[in-house]
Amino acid sequence: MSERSFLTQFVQAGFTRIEVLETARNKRTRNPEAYVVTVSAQKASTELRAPLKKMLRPTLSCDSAARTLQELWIFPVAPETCNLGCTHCLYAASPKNRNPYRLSAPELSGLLNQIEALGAKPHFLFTGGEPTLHPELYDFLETLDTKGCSFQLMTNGTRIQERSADRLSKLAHLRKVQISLESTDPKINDSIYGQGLHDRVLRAIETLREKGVPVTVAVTPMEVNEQELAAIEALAAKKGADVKYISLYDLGAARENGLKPPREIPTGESPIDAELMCDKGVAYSEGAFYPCPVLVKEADKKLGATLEEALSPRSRQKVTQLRKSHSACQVCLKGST
Amino acid sequence: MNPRSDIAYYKVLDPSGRGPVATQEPTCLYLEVTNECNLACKTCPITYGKVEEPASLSLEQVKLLLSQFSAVSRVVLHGVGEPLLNRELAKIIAWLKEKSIYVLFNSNGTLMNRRWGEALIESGLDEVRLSLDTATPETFARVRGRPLFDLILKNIRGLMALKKEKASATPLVSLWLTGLRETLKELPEFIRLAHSLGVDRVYLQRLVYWEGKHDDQMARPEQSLFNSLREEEEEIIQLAQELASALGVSFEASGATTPIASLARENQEQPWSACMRPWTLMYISARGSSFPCCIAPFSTKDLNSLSLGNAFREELAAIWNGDKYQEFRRRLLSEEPPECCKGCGACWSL
Repeated sequence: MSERSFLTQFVQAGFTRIEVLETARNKRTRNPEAYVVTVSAQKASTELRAPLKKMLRPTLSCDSAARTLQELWIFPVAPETCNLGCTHCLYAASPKNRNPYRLSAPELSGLLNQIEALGAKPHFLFTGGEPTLHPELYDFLETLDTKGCSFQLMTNGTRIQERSADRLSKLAHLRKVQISLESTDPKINDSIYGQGLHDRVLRAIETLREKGVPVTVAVTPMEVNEQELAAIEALAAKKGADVKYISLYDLGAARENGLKPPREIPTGESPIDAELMCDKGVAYSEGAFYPCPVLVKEADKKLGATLEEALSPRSRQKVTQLRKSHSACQVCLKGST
Repeated sequence: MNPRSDIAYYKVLDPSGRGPVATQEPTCLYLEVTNECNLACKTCPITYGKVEEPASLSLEQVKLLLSQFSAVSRVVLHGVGEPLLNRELAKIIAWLKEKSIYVLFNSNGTLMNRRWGEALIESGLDEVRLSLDTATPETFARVRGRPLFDLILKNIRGLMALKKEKASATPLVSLWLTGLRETLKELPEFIRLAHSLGVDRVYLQRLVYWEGKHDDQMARPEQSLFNSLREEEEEIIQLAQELASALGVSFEASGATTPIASLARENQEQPWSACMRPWTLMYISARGSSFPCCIAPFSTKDLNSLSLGNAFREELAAIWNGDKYQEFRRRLLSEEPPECCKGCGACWSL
């Protein structure tokens, strides 16, 4: 039996983190082909089985940042800074909030220097809050494009105009623009976003697609729209956009409004295949790093002010502990995000 | 066997020796290093809904796959996405080159900046095929969506200059044009453009269309030129051929055939049965799915019907001659081909 087929048996039996520690001739028999192989492997509970992919990709660390830091979430404005006040927002963002934080150009270039020092090439996800409220956002994106960094923009779409779409379409390293849409029914969407916004969001998707920008429609399945998902997928396909499902977290406005998750969580991929956000990268918000974009408003979840601290063994330990206890982590572990 | 020649791979076996069981290991692997793209072309199915959940192959995964076959001499590093979105691509190539494997991939060229150029030359990459598709910025924006034509030209010029600067013969660079009714008329201009960029290889690619009803979808049967060449279109190809030979540009079609032959195929009773891919190559997606070939994921949205196994859960050898692969090969040789092969040789390429 080859070493590979030997190890495959462990994979098939549901083990992960399989490692050959030692291979030695079996001296108890005369067969020259008999070996004793010492293997270390972990078997997680079947429900939350670690993905096979993870077995092949080591845990985030400074030493392996070039390989393991796949994503970096950036909040150009504070998470609660938004021109909308959606009922399902995990940050309870709203135009009423007055957090003055704006990512500065020197701050961004400091971040880029830290990344370069570690040899990492993460994909940048600009999110919020509403990132387009940052007056220099497009300049930042152009800087990243010139530097050859891959990035995407998550926006509610309401501020996307002909001119901004034009600017975005010229950025080769912009992988996609992600726009939230919760229903094909204007009434349902408006009840979540606010009056008249359904049409504006659809217009933004169309404007971007006319300019050839790849668009992903982000849908948060909830009790209120769970019958709508097939219709949203069809609408997105018709518009030339992809669909991504986002989990509903019992935080912020969603908690205040008592929003309920769908009875059945639609997952495009099985949890076994899904890598969690905290496996793939870290989030940067208001001057500090956090395990993921979901937890950026929880000060005690801070991993540090530098990327090095965020990727340190201590931080990784903290993330592992969090995953055992935090209710938001349980949401990620159960469904795809 | 010349690894550059596609035909060597697809027709390496005696066709009459083909049966449900493959008697030799694949010699070519298609590895979809990523299924994500920075463009959303109107000719591509991923514009209208993803094929699989986003993923990229890691070097470790590539090693795991390659360790399972010993006869692989050619690896094609593309699938439905843009390979340059895989951050580990240069490392993957360098590792494959250490094993003396011929490595190539297709790219849209938009991300091919100096840094990538340097990394790819250093990696030892043998060949890169750039899908430019049009000869003018206007048509490019119409077909490919984004106004990045000039950027790609800049990138190609940069790559050619870098090769000269480093005195590197590789990667071989070629330009590709997917033959749509809209783009074919630009073919002579396309060849002139290639020549002016210092690129001496041009390929004509057939359009794989699918049934879909999206507002702006361009990959439609009426757009395809396969088996429906009009006289003026044949003239354009003739003209392009003459121009190419005058300029010293080689002009071929995908699948190592002549441009006209690639678009006009004689009627056969079971055109799909001429295919050799299921006996010579394996295609592994970024999620580990094993599909019959690189065209199959474009042919249908029903991926379950296509998948012959998962390379991260099963051994490749077990997939290669597993029940599903055997059934697939048996049907390909029959009058009732698998769904994804029905159009092949009949509506589009072999």
